[in-house]
Amino acid sequence: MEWPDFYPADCPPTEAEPASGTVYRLVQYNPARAEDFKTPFEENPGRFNNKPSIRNCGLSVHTDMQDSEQLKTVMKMVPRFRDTQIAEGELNPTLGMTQHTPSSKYKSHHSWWVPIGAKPWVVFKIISG
Amino acid sequence: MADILNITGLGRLEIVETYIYYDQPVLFSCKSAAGHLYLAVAADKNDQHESWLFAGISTERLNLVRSGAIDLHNAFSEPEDGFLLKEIIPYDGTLPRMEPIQSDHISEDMLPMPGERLNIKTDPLPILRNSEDIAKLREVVKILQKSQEETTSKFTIPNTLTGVLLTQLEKLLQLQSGDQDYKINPER
Repeated sequence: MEWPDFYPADCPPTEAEPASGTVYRLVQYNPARAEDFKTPFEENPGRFNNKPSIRNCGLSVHTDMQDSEQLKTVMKMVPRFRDTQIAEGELNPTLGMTQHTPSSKYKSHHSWWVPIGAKPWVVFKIISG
Repeated sequence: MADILNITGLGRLEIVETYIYYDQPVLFSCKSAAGHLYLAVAADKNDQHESWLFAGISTERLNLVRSGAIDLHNAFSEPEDGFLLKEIIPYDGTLPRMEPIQSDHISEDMLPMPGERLNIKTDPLPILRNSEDIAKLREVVKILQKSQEETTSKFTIPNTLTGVLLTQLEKLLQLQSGDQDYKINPER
């Protein structure tokens, strides 16, 4: 598995595991597109002083749909995410590595690192608008 | 380690608190190197660019926003300075730019919905990190610890009060330094 050139040496972290299982992600487009799976560092490296990190090279997903539904409600606070939809995807090891990174509010939050050549948008379908 | 963002027109901003995180902080407070506080939110994204709004904010107002006394729509639609800063980041590689927007010219679709509030039931916003202030605070702790040890201290402080003060200072130093494991060692 090859990782993007801009990934730092310690990314994905050693604690990460091969991607598997059902996950949920907020996406902008229906059907989901490549743009829905770009990491913050890819989109705007200058914002991070051109320093990639484990965090800014990862994507957020939830394994519990209730977390995604709750987050979507919370996203009324964030204009950019107001019109997003919840997409469900079935991950497999070819789609990279994930790590359980829960927060106090969202226990099922996982960070996901996608390798070169993977097309994660293909396995996601919109389930809630 | 604190998250540092490089924001056009504002320079290096240190994230103070993240209120909503998705791939990255998307609603957060931050401060500049000069100590100016901002409340920031991811405002817009399309194929060509993404936009962020920054509202200069006082500590007092930010505490009201954090507690929910002021909703997020108001926090951005009625900024104390009378204007917001809108950062536009094109995806075509051209340089990001920052534009001031007068408060009465802010489009509703770029604002949090009315009535949406944070509800942080915690201590008020931690005092902004400053290594000198932290060092001074630690000196105070040493004096208090010494007063507990010495029977003939110049500063006669009841041990129970000293214990309470030390506990509170310990919490404050944890918040200040970001080191949740920091403990005041009475043996030191």
